[in-house]
Parts: sequence; C-alpha cells; structure tokens
Amino acid sequence: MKSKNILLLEPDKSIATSVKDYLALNQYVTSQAHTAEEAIALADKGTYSCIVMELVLGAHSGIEFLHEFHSYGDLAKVPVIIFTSQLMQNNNAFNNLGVKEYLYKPNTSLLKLLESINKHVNNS
Amino acid sequence: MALRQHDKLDASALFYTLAEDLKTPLVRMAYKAELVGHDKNISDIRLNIRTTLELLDAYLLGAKNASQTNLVLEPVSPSALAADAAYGLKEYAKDFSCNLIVDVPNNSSFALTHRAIVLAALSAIGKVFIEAQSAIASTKKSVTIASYKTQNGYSLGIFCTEESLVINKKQLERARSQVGIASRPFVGLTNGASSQLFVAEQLLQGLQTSIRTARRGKLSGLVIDLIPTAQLTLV
Repeated sequence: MKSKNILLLEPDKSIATSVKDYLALNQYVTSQAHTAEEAIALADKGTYSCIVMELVLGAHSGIEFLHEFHSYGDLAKVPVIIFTSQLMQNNNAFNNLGVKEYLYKPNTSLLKLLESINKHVNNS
Repeated sequence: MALRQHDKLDASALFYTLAEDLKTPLVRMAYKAELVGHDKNISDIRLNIRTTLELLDAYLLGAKNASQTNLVLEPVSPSALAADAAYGLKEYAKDFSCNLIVDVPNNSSFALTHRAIVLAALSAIGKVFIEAQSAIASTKKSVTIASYKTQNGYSLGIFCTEESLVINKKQLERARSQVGIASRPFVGLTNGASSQLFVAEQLLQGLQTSIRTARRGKLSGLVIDLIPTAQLTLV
C-alpha cells in the first residue's frame, strides 16, 4: 500500500488547516510547513508521497525551494503539486523540477486538490 | 491637473492591490465552507464566492492588459470559446434554474484574439444574462451562447428573448456614460451585476473592441466582435 503522507508548504495558516483537515477526512496524514526552511527540515526527517506547495512564500520564492528540494537525490522523485494564488501564464520555470500539476487556488476546490493528490500518489 | 491625474493613478493602483488581496480571504472562506458540507446553502455560499473570485480575476486580467499595446494574440475557434464559456457557466446557470443553449456553426473557423480575455469577458456577460433571467416569471428561462460569421469576421455573444432582455442599446450607452457616477448604471440589473459588464468592457479595451448589442433571429443580446485569421481559415 502506498504511503499517504503529504508535505504541505502553505504560508497561510487558515488555508493550511483547511487542506490538512480535508485530507485527513480522506486518510492522508499532512505535515504542515509555513516556510521553505520548515519544509526542508520536514523533508529531511520524513518520507512523503506527495508535496503540495504555494509559490508565494515569505522570505523565499517557491521556485528557489523547488531547486533546493530537487537537489536532494532521494527527494527528487516525489511528485510536486503547485497549489498557488499566483496566476502564471506559462509554467516553463517548473520544467525538470518534479512538478506534476499546477493548480490555481481561486479555481481549485479541496475536492479537486484531493483528486490531483490521489492521481499522483497512485502513479508515483 | 497633474495632481488630479496622480490621484487617479493612485486610486487604480490601490484598487488593483485590493482586488488581489481580497482573493485570499475569499479562498479561505471557500475552503471552510467546503469542509462544512454540501447542502444547498453551502453550495450557494461556495458559488457566490467562486463568482466573486472570477470577477476579481477578470478585473485583474483587464487592468493588467488594458494599457498593453503588444498583447500576444493567437488563432482561436469562436465555437470552441463559446463551448468553453458554456462549460464554465454550467453550474451558475443550474443555480439560477436557467437553461444554457450553445448555438455554434458546425464548420470550424478561427479568429485572431486573446483567448483568456475573450473567455473572461464572455463569461461575465453570461453571468449577467443568467442572473437577469431569475427575475422573469417564465418557467422556460434560457440563455443562448452563440458564435456566428459576420461581414467583418465573427461575433460571439450571449442572447435571450426580447421579453427577458434587460440591456438594450440605449441602456448600454447610458450606463457607459454613468459608470463611476451612478451607483447602479444599469437600472434593469440587480445590484452587483453592473460591474460584470464593465469588467467585460475593460477586458475588451485591451483588444481595441467593446461590447455591442445584436439580434440573432428572435433573440437579442450582447456580442463581442472577433477578427478572422485568413491563413487558418484556408487550412
């Protein structure tokens, strides 16, 4: 059986709690990080089947985090879902960084996020 | 005069930031509502939040592109745009018990335009028409999304019966002259609906076009004109 541990990098605490609670209803265990540093520390300690992350972070950009995260050999294979309030016209910046999907928060329900996680966890 | 110009710029910059920032609390509310459940009241709350988020995004897209002189245009099928708009409006129409009809030609042709801008403008007009139908006593509430060839290119628009039409040419012109002055420039529309039409107009400014009134058979409505792409029509 696939691991159902999710690493959520989300600076907004209200949104992070909603995502965590919703995923918990669907048998996922979510580790929350509000900053890139927290996410790196959590990634170092645990094993995750998927990373869900915001691009707009406090001190770092999400792209920087992705580059750093991707440089860790064993973590590079973990599917990443960008779950952001930043509307992007082109997603080329994510090429080769393990990003499987880009979800724009205002258009994405929690159900849609769950369906994406299910898809990528099962395919990984 | 210079001061007045400066004040105006500040106000639009502030509103741009405000619109961007309003999205976060709305997303928070949408997720809390989704966690609560799926009954009709919660669905209504979520639909209203989604509609507001789409309006803010449409405004931001228009504000960003209104002054751009080098918008990247692409060949787009007006029929496909009509179908995409219908898909996006499906849930909204269902909530207002309004039947959504798509009337597009079978042959596929292309127009040179900005897909996201036209789709956002068409969707905004569609919401106004759908909501306006709720004020009609008829049990057969319907709105038609149509694309068709014209003398100069293509038109893509939203139509309804003459009896249920809330915006005619005169009302459209009067409302344009009262934007920013009257609290409800379109007297026939419910509160909040006028901004959908003005956001659609702002979006289309970037394409040097605007909404116009039109008739199609027995139906009346508002359309957007698109420029054809000769090369792709030949293909």
